[in-house]
Amino acid sequence: MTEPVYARKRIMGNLPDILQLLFTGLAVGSIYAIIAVGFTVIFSSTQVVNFAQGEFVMIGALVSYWLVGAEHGPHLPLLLALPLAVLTAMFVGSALGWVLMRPLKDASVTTLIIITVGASMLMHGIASMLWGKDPVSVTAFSKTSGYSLYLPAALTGPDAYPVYIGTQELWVMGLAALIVLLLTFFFNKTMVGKAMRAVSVNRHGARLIGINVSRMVVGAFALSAAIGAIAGAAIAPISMASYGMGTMLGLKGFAAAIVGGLGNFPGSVIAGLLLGIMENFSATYISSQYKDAFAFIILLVVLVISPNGIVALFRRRRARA
Amino acid sequence: MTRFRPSLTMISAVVGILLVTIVPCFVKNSYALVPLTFIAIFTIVVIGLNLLMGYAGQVSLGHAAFFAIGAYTSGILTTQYGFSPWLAMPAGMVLAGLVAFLVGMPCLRLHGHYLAMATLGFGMIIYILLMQWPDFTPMPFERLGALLHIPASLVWPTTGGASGLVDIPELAVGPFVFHENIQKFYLTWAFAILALLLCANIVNSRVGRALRAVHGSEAAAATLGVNIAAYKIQVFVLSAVLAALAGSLYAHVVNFVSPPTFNFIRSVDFVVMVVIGGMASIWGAVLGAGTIVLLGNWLQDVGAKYPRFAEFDLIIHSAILILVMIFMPAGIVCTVRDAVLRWLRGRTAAPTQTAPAHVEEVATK
Repeated sequence: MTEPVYARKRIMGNLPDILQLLFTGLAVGSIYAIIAVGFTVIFSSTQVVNFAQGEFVMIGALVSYWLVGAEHGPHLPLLLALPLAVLTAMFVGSALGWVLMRPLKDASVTTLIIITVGASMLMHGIASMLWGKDPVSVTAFSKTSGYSLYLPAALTGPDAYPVYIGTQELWVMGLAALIVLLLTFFFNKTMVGKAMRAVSVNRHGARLIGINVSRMVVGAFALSAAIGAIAGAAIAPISMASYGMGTMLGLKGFAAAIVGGLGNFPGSVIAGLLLGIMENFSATYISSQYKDAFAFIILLVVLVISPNGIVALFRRRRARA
Repeated sequence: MTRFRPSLTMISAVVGILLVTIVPCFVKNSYALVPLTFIAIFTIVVIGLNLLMGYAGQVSLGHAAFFAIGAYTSGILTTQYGFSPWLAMPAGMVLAGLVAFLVGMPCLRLHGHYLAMATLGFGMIIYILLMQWPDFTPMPFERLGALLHIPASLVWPTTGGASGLVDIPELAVGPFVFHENIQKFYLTWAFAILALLLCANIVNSRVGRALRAVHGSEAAAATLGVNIAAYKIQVFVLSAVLAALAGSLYAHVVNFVSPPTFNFIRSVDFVVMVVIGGMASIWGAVLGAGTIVLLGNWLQDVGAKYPRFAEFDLIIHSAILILVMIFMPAGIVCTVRDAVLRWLRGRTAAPTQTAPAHVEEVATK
């Protein structure tokens, strides 16, 4: 039988590990959250599940890599390269929105899904031709790579590791928070944002009151692509950039969007963060080989228990009570 | 006296069997039969997926996983447990059917994109499992093996991880082994034609009529008492079972399985095949599978010559997918067939007067 004091000390001794996992998990989770928000923006204005969302992330990462660090690239400063990468992704995103315009009017869900899957594969293939197949490392946003945070020895014991706070992770979290704030403002306070929401509620009604629906649809795709590209540019220094990075990231963000409830904005942010943290902890404490599978297992479980997301589950409980 | 009137299905089947029988006569070396064998294998997957997409209006982005379940069940049971391939094949089909039932059950009651998501996630899980399956026997299973006095390798099968399973035996009837390319060709096409006939019969049966009703209008079908969710789950399970059958054939024909054969891109390829052949057209499956396999072979040759275009098949497949879906969502075969029929009808009879489109639209609302 262990005495309670020792038990407490053992838990506290793990504190730096736990904080470290929490921190990196939050950073990865922020990326999932941004991607999930990108899904939500498109889904809530067009009811299209955009399976090409991850490729916007890849475009953001690879274009910013090429503009800043590539051998034969223009070596632009980051402050200039980031907006250019975002613009490129927005251009591709608008093109996708424009392509979907015609089928959106009458095609079935199956058709729309297949088109976005096709678009995803197309970008995937083109990127592999442009940038090759090898992953490239990308320069971080700041020169300082990170800080070591020593916890008080009274808490953790004398020879505990410090918690390492990476600056790029801080950038990722900051950008994610900024995007969420700006989007909330955009959808609630600006005319265009309100118009986009109107289109999602009722397309015909929106058209009747004089909203240009096609422009809103293309706009939603462009906005979503911009969000994805920022996520890509921010995560690339941590995870490296490659033509195939979008698939996994996109799917994880997608899992977050479903877990949060498709079309539910705060839900997808929370689900993204939780997914990142859970993935990080399970990789350490359960199995690192199956790290990538956890997100999908969670996705399947949520689809079985509550297909409208965990938030809906709680809401339903509350309504019943 | 009733006159014998062969049905369209029967005619197609006879023509199909004749074609398959004579094709090898025109092939110079037996190596050229290999892609034709693959066409048969993929046709089996595509027919099932075709029923799912065309009749149930659902899309699966993880059919490579069911294909993998068939292939790996066959591979594991025959190489590690000494099963006969003829027993391993139905085992894989049953397993795939069960798994499909579990995955599809919650999703098929819902809107179209939920099954796409669930199957996509499921496909990823299976792929990761195949890649990362531990070589060693985990402790609890080793204990179990010791407890039952059997070797641990029997309790804990291995998938071979990234390098895959080798030396999977060929199918055999008595002393006759399907070993030569031409034997494998006839074997796989026999299965493919059986699967085609099975599905053609299903489409023309009561189930098929119900499915067509669901395809036309779910609400109308439901009002007429068609249990939509039940039919959808049946079609999904059937498509998974067919995919597993094809996977098992693949394992016994190629004698080797490894995870890259069953990745996400393979799942998308199956969808491309369905789209080319046309949704809700059984016989289009052969055409879809044929186009993609032959195109893939040709592109591989091009890729070998010009390494820069190695990833070109991906671009071409996805371009086909997008263009077909936008301009002819019914698929190439159906669109062309309808155009020809319209042209023929236009020549023989004056166009019949139909209600203007907007009247129908109002009527459905």
